[in-house]
Order: sequence, then C-alpha cells, then structure tokens
Amino acid sequence: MYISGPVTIQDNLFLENVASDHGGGIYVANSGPRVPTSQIDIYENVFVSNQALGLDQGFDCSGGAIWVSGGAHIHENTIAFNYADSQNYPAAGGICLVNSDPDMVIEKNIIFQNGEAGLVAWRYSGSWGASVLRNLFYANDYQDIYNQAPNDIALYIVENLFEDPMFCILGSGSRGELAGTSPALNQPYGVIGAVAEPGCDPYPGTWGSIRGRTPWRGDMRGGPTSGTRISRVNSSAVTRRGNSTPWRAMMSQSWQHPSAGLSLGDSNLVYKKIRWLPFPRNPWLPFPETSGYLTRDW
Amino acid sequence: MVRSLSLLPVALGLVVAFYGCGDTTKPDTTPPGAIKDLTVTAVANTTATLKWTAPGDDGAKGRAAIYDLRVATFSVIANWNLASRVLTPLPGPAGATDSTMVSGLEEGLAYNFAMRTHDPAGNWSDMSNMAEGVPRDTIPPAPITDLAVRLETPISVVLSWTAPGDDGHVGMAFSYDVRYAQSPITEATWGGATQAEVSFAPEVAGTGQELTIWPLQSQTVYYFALKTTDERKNTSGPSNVAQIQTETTHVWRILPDGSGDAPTVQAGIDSAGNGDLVLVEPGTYYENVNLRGKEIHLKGDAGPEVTILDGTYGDSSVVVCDSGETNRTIIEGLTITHGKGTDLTGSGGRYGAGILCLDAAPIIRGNIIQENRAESPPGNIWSWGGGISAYSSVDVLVLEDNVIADNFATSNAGGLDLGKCLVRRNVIRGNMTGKGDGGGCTCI
Repeated sequence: MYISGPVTIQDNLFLENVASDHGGGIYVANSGPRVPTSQIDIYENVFVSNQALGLDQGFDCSGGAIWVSGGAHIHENTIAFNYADSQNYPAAGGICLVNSDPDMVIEKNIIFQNGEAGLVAWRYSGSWGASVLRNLFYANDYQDIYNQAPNDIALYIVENLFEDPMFCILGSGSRGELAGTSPALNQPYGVIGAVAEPGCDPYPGTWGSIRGRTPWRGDMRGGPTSGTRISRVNSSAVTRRGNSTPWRAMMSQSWQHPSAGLSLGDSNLVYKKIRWLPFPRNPWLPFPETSGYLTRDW
Repeated sequence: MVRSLSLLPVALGLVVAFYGCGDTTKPDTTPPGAIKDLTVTAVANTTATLKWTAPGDDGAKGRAAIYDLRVATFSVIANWNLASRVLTPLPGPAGATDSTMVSGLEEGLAYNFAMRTHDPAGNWSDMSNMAEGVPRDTIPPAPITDLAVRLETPISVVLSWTAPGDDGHVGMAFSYDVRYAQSPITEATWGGATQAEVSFAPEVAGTGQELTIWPLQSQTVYYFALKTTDERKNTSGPSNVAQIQTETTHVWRILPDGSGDAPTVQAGIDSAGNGDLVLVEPGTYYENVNLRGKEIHLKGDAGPEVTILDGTYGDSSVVVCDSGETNRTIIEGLTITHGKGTDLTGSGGRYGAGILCLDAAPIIRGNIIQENRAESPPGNIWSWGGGISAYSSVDVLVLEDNVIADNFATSNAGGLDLGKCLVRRNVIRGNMTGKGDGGGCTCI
C-alpha cells in the first residue's frame, strides 16, 4: 500500500507510542508513487515520549517522534522527550528524514530534549535535500541537527533558534503552555510549535529549562558522570555540545525527569493505569510511576 | 526631409513665443512652491493612491508645468536619483487637489513617495514631504447571491453556489465559512449559527461549487448562508440565505439485552436504510460488525466509556467497512476493543484489529479504540494496524476526536495504518509495534 492521496495530521497528541524499528509517533513513507509534498501536511501536533528502537532494520536514524521519507510539510509541532536508537549514531529522537526530496520542509517546530539527536537527515544513496526553517531547537542530546552525508544531502538551514523555549511547569490538564516571554511566541513570522497560548508569567524556570534538570546518575558504560550537564546553547545553525555518550547507554537506568507528572492534553484529559511497557524503560518518559493512557472525558 | 526643414522656422517661433522670450526684461526665476501635503490616501494589493495640493508656477500662483514623482522602498528624499520616477497627470492650477494612482507595487512592502515640480522656465521646486504607503489587498470577495440547497437523503443536503473572486468577482478567494441554523441567518445571528466543515478552497471566480452537509436532524427546517474570505482576511458579506426542510429518518435503538428495535448491533445496521441512525445504548456488545456500505450513523448514545463493542469472542476486526462506505457513514461514541484483525491474504496475517476499512472512508469520530491486537502466527508473516487499518480510493478517511490507545501490531502500525486521511484532535497513546515501523501511526 502506498499513500494514494492527501494526508493531514493535525492537532493530535502522540504520547508514549513505541515502534520497535522506525517512527515511534509517525512513520510516513512518501517515497513510492509520490504524493505532492504539499498534500502531506503534519502540523500542530504534540509528540511526547515516543520511542523508535531500531531493533529490526534500524540502519538509518529511526525517528523517535517522526520518520519520514520523500516529501512532507512538517510544521508547528511540539516534539519533546522522544527517544530513538539505531544501529547508526546518532538516531533522531525528534525527526528522522530519510532520502528526503528538496521540497521537504521542516518549519516552526519546537524540537526539545530528544535523544539521541533532534533532527537527523539520512540517505541510503543518491543526493537529497530538505529545508529546516525557523524551528526552535533546545537541549537535544548530541546535536540539534545532524547531517549524515553533508556532501549528498543539501540541508537549507535558515533562521532556526537554539534557546530555551520556556515551557511552564506542566501539571495535570496542561497543554505545554509557554511563558509569555518564550522565544517561540515572539517571532515576526508567527508562533513556533503547537502550543500558542501563553500560560505562565512570571516564568518559573523549571520544565524546559536546564536549571531544574536532574544530574545524570552515572553511566554503566562510562558515560557522563554525576553532575554532567548539557551546556546552554548559543545560537548557531548546527550545534554540537556537551558529551557524546550514546543514549542507549542510559536506557536501563532509573532516571526521573523533573517534568514527572506532566500531562499534555486538554483540561478534560484524565489518566488511567493500563500496563507497563515491555521494553526497557526510556529515561525520557515523563511518567515514571505509570504508563497509563490518556482518555478524554467525553 | 525637405518638408521637415521647411517647418523648422515655424517651430522655433512657437517655442520663443511659449517661453516668453519676447519679454527680455524679467526672466522667470521663481520656482513653484514645495508640496507639503503629499498623502497616500488608499492602497490596494499592488497600487497606492496619492493626493496633494497643486503649487503654482511662481510659489503659490499660476500653474506649474510638470511633476516629478519618485517612489522607492528606501528614503526617496535621501536617495532621489536612485528612486523610480512615476508618470503623473499635468499639474492643476495652484490650490487644486491633484492625485494619481501608482501601480505595479509589491504587496506588503513599505513604499516611500516624494515629488518635485518645475515650471515652464525650468525652475525646480524644493522636495515635497515624503509619504509612505504599504500596498494591501483591501477588496473583499463579492457576496454570493446564488446559494441554493437541495435534499440528497432525508437528513443530508447539498449546497451549491458560484465562486466569487478574491477581489469582488475577480481572481480566486481563499476560504469559505458556511453556516447553518434552525432560524434565519443574518449578520447579527451569524456567530451563533453552526459552522460546517468545508474541506475545499474556493475555485476561480465563476466556477460552480457544492458542499454536502450531513447529518442533520430529521423533519427540521434549516437555513444556510456563507461568507468568502481572501488570503488577506478580507471577508465578504453573507450570501443569500437558502432554506430547506429535512425529511423523516428512522432511529434504530439497540439495547444490550436484545429488546431494542433490533436484537443486535449488526441487526440494527442490516435493518437501517441510508440516512438512518443506529443508536447503541450503554452496555457491552460482544460483536464484530460490518457496516455493509450503509450511509448511516452508528452511534453510542451515552458515549464511548459506557458503550462497548468487544471483539473478544470473534476472530476478526471489530468493525469492518468494505463496501465503499464514504464520509456519509459515521462511527461515533463507541469503545472498540479486543479486536484481532482480519486475514486479508490467507497467510494468517491480520489487518485492522479494531477497525478495518477496505476501499472505504467513513468518518470515525469520538471513539475509544483500545487494546486491539493484530498479531501474526509464527513465521515471517505481516500484520498491520493494531487500532485501525484504512485504505481508500474514494473519500478521505476522517479520524477525529478519538482516543487510540494501547493497540499492538506484530509488524507495522501499532495504532493507525492509514493511506489517504485526515487525522485531527486525537490522542494516540501507548500503541506499539512488535517488529516494525510506526508505533503510533503509519502512512504508507
């Protein structure tokens, strides 16, 4: 089966989905009989704590939140705390572009604290490209943007921000609101990310800020030691920072993110406990005490 | 050539007379006064209209000879020679209001305008003040005047109208806002009317367009109207109001003890005709159902938490649409759980454990689709779509306001396995693949 017409994915919450191979949140293969890029539209979604484990044929960048090939327009999404593993390094915790056509557009997304990298452009063979415009990257492990084949993948990287998006403290009923002073809300070209409403002023400076981040608790493979932090990022097109220890080294550790208790969704969303995931626990998961699912209070 | 030479003395005489060379005692050295009130009075998407008070030949007296109007996106006064010159009408008498429209501008850019004047003797005025204008499209689409409505089924209607333009009746507008209500729609009641879903954009002005609205209440009078907006958010006035009364439709009430209008959900579907409502009352129904191409509304009366279609005792998808169902089939307000999928290939692989749509595109709205499993038997056999598998060559599948949670597929698409689709406002959580791609959703 191939995409036979327009695909619109808008205003959804993708939470804690797991792909054993590629595309923890979404897997979009628009590289068979091609649908025009303008008809593959993924926007205003929230992706949190999805995983792509790259266990089966994980030869590319896996895509914790999104794996996409060919062409698509991916814009105004909030992509946070997703994780990917791969037989290659780094995998894309946020967005994995594979053999992307030059009309692929990644625009005005918040790509925040994903591991191993925020966005990875990958190619199996041939020459490819993509535009990465006006996104806000922050605190992704290893790199925010990684080009696997700089000589063969032409990435057009323009006007991206590399600074704290300033999420509010996220509690029950939150939709990931941003402080009014968030850079995602104050750009001449409009809002970055899926959440438009300013939610907290003055900004409390915890979730979304490295100031409140729990130190690593050691590493079984000699990775970062206690107290190692991801350093604050200066604005630049592609940033490499901190240590480069693979995230997979931390998969088996007990690590609680300070955003524990986070819920993303409408104020009428409630939790129910269902079951534990059978995979090793992802340290990015913001619900260390439950893997329950969200359901609407209809 | 001979003729031209013979006319030369006459021409020279006219020039001498025009510039007053006969008056050798007092040459004109007084320039026109500088214009101080140059103003941009209106802008459109590529034009700006300017007006000013005409100076005279000498200061504020008489009549000047010509204007030199310049335009640029930078300061015209500071860069006079770099600015573009614009043709203008000839000056009126001193004190008259002169105006001109400058065209060929680029929408959204800030343009500066300034001008000078010279008299017949060639004396140049000082620079005028500098006026600024940003071309904007301020012309709304024309109101639609030919909106018509007809019944398609007892509770569905088709609206039809002719597309207006971006500017009045010219060009192509950006979007429609279609409203309907059970009382006449006016500008004052516009906000209270129900907004219809419009999945298409306006066509070029003059093109006929249609919209189906479904479902409506039976035996009810409805009023319809629409507005058109261009890409600059200029909105037309409301169209004419079209009116119609829907017809009788049947409600098939299903009860868990079998005492309803039909003994089972499937029996209700089988009994229903197009346009009917199959209303499932609270309870758990251990059934696997097939919509059989019916244009019906299958609805859990009290919501998905208490209305459960459970496939525990079946060996297939809980809900199947495989008879060309379109967006006129609606599945709403149900929990769909414990499905096992359908073996489409005879290999034992399963597809669409919760819902399977084969060349069908119903609207799936407000359901909880959870804990369905598309599992393969041992061997390298593929199974897709723990929650939903949907492939359509007809309408776009609409999946909205659902919770798709904790579904599993052995191969790909733990939650959703989709082709042509509109997926919005869903919570997609905790879905998983066993050895493949797309934990939450696969679009291939």
